[in-house]
Amino acid sequence: MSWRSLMFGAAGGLLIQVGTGGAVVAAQAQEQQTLQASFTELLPAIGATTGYDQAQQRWQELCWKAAAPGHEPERLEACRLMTTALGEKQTPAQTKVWFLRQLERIGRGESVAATAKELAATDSQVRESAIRALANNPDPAANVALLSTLKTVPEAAARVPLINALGFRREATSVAELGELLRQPAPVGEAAARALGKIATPEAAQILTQALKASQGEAALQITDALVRCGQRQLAEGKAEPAAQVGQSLIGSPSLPARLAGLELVLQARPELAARTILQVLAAGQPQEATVALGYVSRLNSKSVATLAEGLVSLPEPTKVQLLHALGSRRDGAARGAVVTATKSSDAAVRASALAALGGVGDVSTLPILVEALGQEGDAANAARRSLETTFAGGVDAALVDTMKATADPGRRTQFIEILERRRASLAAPALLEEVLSPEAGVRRRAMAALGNLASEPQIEGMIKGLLKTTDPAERDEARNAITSVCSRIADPARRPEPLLRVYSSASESDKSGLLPLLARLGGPKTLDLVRQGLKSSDTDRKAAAQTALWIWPDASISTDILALAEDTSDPELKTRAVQGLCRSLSLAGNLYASEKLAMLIRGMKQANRDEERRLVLDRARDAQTIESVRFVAESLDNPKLTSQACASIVDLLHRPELRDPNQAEANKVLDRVIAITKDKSLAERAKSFQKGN
Amino acid sequence: MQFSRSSRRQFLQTAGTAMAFPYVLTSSALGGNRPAASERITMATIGCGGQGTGDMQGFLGFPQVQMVATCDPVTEHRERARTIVNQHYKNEDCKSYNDFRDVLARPDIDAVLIGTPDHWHAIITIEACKHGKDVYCEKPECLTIKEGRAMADAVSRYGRVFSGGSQRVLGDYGDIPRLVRGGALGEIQEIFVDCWGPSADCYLEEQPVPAGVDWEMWLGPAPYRPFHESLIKGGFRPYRDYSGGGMTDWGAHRYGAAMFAAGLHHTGPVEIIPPDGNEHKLLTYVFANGTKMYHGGTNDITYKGTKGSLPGEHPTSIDRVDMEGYKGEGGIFGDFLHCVRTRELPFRNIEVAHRATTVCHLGNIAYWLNRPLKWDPVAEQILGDPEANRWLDRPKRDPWTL
Repeated sequence: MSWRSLMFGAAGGLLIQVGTGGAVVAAQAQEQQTLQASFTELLPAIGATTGYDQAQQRWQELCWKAAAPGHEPERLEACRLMTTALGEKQTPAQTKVWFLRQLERIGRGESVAATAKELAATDSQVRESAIRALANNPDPAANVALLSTLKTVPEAAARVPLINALGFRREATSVAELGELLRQPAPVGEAAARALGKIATPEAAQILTQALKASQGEAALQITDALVRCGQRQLAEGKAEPAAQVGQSLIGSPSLPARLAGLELVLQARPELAARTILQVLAAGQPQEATVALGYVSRLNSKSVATLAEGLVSLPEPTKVQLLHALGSRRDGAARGAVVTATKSSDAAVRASALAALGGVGDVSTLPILVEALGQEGDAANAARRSLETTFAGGVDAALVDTMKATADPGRRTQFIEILERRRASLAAPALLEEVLSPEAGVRRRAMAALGNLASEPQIEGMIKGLLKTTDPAERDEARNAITSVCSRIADPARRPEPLLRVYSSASESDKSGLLPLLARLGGPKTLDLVRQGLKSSDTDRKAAAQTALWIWPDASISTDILALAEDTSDPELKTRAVQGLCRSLSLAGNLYASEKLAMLIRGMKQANRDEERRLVLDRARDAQTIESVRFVAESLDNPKLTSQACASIVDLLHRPELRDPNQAEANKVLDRVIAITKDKSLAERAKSFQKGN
Repeated sequence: MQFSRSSRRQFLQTAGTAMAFPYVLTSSALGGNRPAASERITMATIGCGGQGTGDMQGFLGFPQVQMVATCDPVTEHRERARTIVNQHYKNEDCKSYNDFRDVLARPDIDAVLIGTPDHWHAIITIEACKHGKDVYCEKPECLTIKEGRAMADAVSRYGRVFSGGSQRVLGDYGDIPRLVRGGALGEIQEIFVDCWGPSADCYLEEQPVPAGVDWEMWLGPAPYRPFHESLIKGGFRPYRDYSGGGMTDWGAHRYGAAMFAAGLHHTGPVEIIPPDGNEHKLLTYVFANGTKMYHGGTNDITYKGTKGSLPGEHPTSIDRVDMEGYKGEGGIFGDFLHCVRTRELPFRNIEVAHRATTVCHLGNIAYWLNRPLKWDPVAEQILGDPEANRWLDRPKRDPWTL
């Protein structure tokens, strides 16, 4: 059917539409005219030797739009315009290639004849593009064109792409012709096999089965692959037994890939026999076949898992290890009994594998087995521990808590705490609260750390009790971290300090001093008030705690308090610490403007009594991004102890065009000084690159 | 003969010991105690550009791996990779190849690492499966949706282990998948995913093919075009004949990560709507459960649920969630190697990889055609738009075919 006849058909469609909506027809006619006009305008540029990209892209866009549902007349018109151009002698090869690429996406029956003509083109790219365009053309006429060309082409090299195109199309009408080619030597025969595998009809399977008997090497591999594809297709269509027969015919093949594919197909086609088949394969001791069989275990149903597990006892020990692993991964309780039996094996590898498999198939009833194995050594203990950490069955968390409570040995108790933590067993939190009061430091610390991950708001008070009982500084710090973790999980940031504030309000004076640094980690306005009260307190412990709070505060809101302390104190050590704290706090998140930061840094610089802190102030000035900061830092350029930091900060500040450009003259001067002073070559290079003209 | 090779190597008999390590270790921590040569997993690297070589070096860190071959149509690439391998093992045993078919023909190779440009992934994977090799293939795992399905079929046909190479799904997002999958955000209503946009046609100028470059082999199944050096130096991604662009590059990571976290990684969207400047400001995927996933609107991935957002305010949850993770030790490489031994399904198995890349490709098709698409994730067909369906696959250049 030519595109002209199709256009006639389309015109018929238009006539019908005239009766139902003249506006639609008018709009479509307008679209067609627009397409023609665009094509006429773009064609010279599309065919040009340079600068064709924009024209090509514009035309492509129009083609893709024309191929949208409901735009059939436009699609036809676009294809008509391109196929007409294809037939014209003066159309350059590259233009033809471009049009064929469009036809590959939007061409249908109307395009077949013109595209097929290009199968005889002398230009190899045009020929290749025509083949691809026909391969992706949904009209059956494209298949006819490819088949008829195939019959006329004697050279193997020219036949292979045509065969591949027929395979891409997957049309049953190609089977007979491709079957004839199957007997040809490579590459034609192999290409035909691949194409038949894609078409995958029963007829194709029959032809491939016959051909396989007489083939070997790479050809056999391709025919086998095609045959198994046919089996897969039959399986997908619900024809399980024919598919199984294809698979069965391959299992005895001398070719390993054929055997593997055959086995896989049989397993898929006969799911009710899969467990028995897997056992047979494993018992036969064929390692490569075993890889396929074991891989299939994850797809077995519960009944087949039970059958498979029953067969475990009959397998040799190394094979048991493999199957136990697969059963564990399958995570079906139907295997539980057999796996439990295997945990009693005298073979260490089997025993360890069974304990590992209990992580997948075990439940609360198998917990004692794992607990007992935990006390053993080597692989068995490791496997048991991992299973205790990973098994998902209901009731296991509660049973483990009971086990922990009943365990007297501190080392084992700690082990159970770790397991509960790794299980994310939040229901263990109340029990762990008791453990944070344990006389055993190891148990206590492990429990507090676990609570940091498992506890929620109701447990915070109990954790604080544990914290207040500890005297060891490291343990106190760990406890503070754990409590902060729990508080930070409270969704509303404003509420995070509240559980601690409640405890604080009723705590003894000495406990308040211990709690203040903990509160400080969470910040907030109420805590800030407490810190300010503490700084004025006559109680030396409280005052020290408030000062500690300054150094660990989580945001910049504390900066003014720290600066005030630096300015007020006459203690040089505290002054130094305060300048350090100021620099730290100004690096944290907050609402300070750059000018405010700089003002505080200038005041902080006046309080710094050592060069280390002065350098720290200059370093922090990089965050106060104003030209005034550059001027402030530049004052230190001539101080040999501060030069290096001053140069680095200036270059970092002037890295920003928004700071540099409005002040270029001043920036150039400062950068000149940096370039002259700095001994850091890369810094000097950066400075030069920021000067005007660079 | 091949049976005896496998028997000698006792291919699966170390499965039990592989399970014995209770904690995740980094590959560098696995440096000592190499298994006997007969028990190692022999591998070849096919595609030795930057990513392929980087992955190869990752695998070299595993004592159970013996890298025995490198392959690339660019001589410099394959020889550089071969030198790295031989220096690592302090011998000259690793061989280099121009044609991957010569690698696959070696019966002593158990698994291949595919680090080629995207347009080669499907053909090499399928051929590797036919030859009985397991496959680790870089993301995006395929160039078209039908390639992905064909790869999955081949993996199933030969019972092979396949892992896609998206280490970021678990590696980059810490606790986020657990929180999202576990319901901390409530029902997931919207997901915003950032990555660059789709690929386009290539208009790079023609350059002479330098010595040491097999340009025909580099192009392989892609339509012919003249040589340009940026294409062999990792610059192929913006071009449709070789890649899906940013949508399939980082998209394969991030859409995959988002779908995994939201539990959508075994299905696909039912509707894909390109931006229209009105109701749909962003490319929008609609899933059957009502979840909408957008391209853009974030710097990475943002989840919005009925109870909160991530990043953003949300109820926290410490509960354990029963979801997939890496097996074995050493991240995604360790997961693959563990599964080669045990025949388990790797974390980024072919079905999961195919679903993730399908989303990327559907987004590209919607962008390219600039019209909404309806997708049947079971039949894997675009509904009611025959011409859009023709984008699901592309005929290959002579003599290549799937």
